[in-house]
Amino acid sequence: MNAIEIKGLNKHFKDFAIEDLNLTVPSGCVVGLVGENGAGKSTTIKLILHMLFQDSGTVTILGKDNVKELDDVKEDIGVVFDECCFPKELTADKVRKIMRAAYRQWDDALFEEYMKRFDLPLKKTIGKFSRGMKMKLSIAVALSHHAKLLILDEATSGLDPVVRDDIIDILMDFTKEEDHSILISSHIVSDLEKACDYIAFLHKGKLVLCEEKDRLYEQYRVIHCDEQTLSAIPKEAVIGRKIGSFGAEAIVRQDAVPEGVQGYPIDIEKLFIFMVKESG
Amino acid sequence: MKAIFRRDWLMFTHPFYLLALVAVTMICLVTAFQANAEENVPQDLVLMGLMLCLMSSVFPQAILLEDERNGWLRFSVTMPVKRSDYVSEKYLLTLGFILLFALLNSIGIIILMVQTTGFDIKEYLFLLLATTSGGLLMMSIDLPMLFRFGTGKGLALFVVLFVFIFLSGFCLFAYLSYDADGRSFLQWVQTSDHFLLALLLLAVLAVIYSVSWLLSIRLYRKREF
Repeated sequence: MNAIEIKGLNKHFKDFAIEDLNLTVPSGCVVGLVGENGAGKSTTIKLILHMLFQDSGTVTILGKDNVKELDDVKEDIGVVFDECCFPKELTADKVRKIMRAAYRQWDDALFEEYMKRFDLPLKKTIGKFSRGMKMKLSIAVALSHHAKLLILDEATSGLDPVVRDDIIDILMDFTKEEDHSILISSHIVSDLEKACDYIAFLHKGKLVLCEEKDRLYEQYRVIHCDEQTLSAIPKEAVIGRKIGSFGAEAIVRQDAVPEGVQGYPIDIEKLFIFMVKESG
Repeated sequence: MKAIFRRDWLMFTHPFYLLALVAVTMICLVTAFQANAEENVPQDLVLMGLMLCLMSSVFPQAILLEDERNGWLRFSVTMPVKRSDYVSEKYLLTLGFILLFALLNSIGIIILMVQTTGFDIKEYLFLLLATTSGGLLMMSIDLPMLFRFGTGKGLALFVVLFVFIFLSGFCLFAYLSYDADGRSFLQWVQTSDHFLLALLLLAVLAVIYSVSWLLSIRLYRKREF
C-alpha cells in the first residue's frame, strides 16, 4: 500500500495553479518535495491534508480518501509545519497534556524520551524556546503518537546546519520501521539529498520530475564542454544548461554524454537549479 | 473535542486571562457598590450589563485570535479533531462565558438593588435575561463571521454589522416613538410583563444561537487554510 497517492490533482487560484499533479509516496519511503519558493510545495501538502480543497483529482492517504475519510487516518499522521503551532504561553508539559487528549495512541514515555534526546525542557514556556527547539518540539509531538506517516512542510528552513542535521537523523531513525513513510518539502536540497529515497521536483505548480534518488545519480551526468559540442546533443537529453565565457556546463542523460567528454556525477541541488532554469 | 477544551482551559489559567477576569469582577463590584439610589440606578445597571455582555464576547474572541495568530487553528485541522467539534467547543465555551458573566451580573444586580430600590425578583430576572440575551445576540452574529473569514476580517465585519444593527434598532425605536401605532406598541411593551418578554427574547435568541452554531459548522467546513 502506498502511504500517499495523488492522481490528477488540480487546484486553481487567481495567479497560481497546481496542475494535473500525480505523485506517490510508497510505504516505507521518504519522498522529498523540492521546489523554489512559490513552486507549490506547501499548497500540495495543504491539498493532501484537505486544508485546501482540490478542484479535481484524488488523494488517498494510507489507503483512505482525503476528502471523505481523512478523519479515520489522522491518528496515523504526524504533521510539522514551518512554524511551531503551539501557544507560546504553554510549556511542553502542557502541550503533552493537550496531545494526550487528542491522540488515542499518544505515548507519554516516548514523548519524554524525545524531549530528553532533543534536550528540551518540559517546564519552560514555548515562547522562550529558540526556533530550533520549537521545531524539535513539533517533531517530538508528531512522533509521539506512533504515526505511520510524517508530513513535514519546510520543517528545516531557517534552522542552523547542526539542528537540521539532527532533524534529518531523527527522520532517518523514524523510517527504520518498514511501514513508516515521510513526505518532506524543502527548498534546502542538501537536507533532502541525505534523507530521501525519492525526489519530486515541483516548478510553477507542476511536477517536472519524480524519480528514485539513486536513479537520478545513475541517469544524469554533469558535463563541461564547448557550445558546439553541447548543441550536438539531442535536446530531449539535456536537462539544463549554463553557457558562459569559459564554455558550457550542462546536465545530460548518461547515455547522451558525447564521446571524449567526461561526465561527472550530479548532485541533486545542481540538477534542481538547472531544471528550474531550463523550464524558465 | 477534549483536546481543544483542554487547550482552552490551559490558556485561561494563564495569568493574563485570570487578571482580566479579576479586573472585570472588580469593576462590576465597584459599580454595584457605588450606585446612588436617586440618580444612577438605571444607568449603572445598563452600563454594567453592557460591559459584561461585551466581556462575554471578548474572551472567546481573544482565544480565536490567539488560535489563528500562533498557527494552532491550522494545526488543529491536522489533528484527530473534527471541524464540527472545534466549532462546537467554541460555542460551548462562549456559552460558558455568557453564563459566567451572567452570574457576575447577577451578583452585581442584587447588590445594586439591595443598596438602592430594594430587591425585586421580576426586575432582577428581567435585567439578567436581557443582558444574557445581549451576549447571545452578539456572539450569534460574531462567531459565524470569525469562522468564515478569520479573526481579522471577521471582527471588522462584526463591528460593521453590529453598528448597523444598533443603528437600525435606534431608528426603529425613533420611528415607533413618532408613529401613533408605534407608540401604542411601545406602551404595550411597557405595560406588559417584563420578565415574560425577556424570557421570550431569551428563547428567540437561544434559537438564533443554535442556528448560528449550525451555520458556523457549515462555514468552517468550507474554510480553507
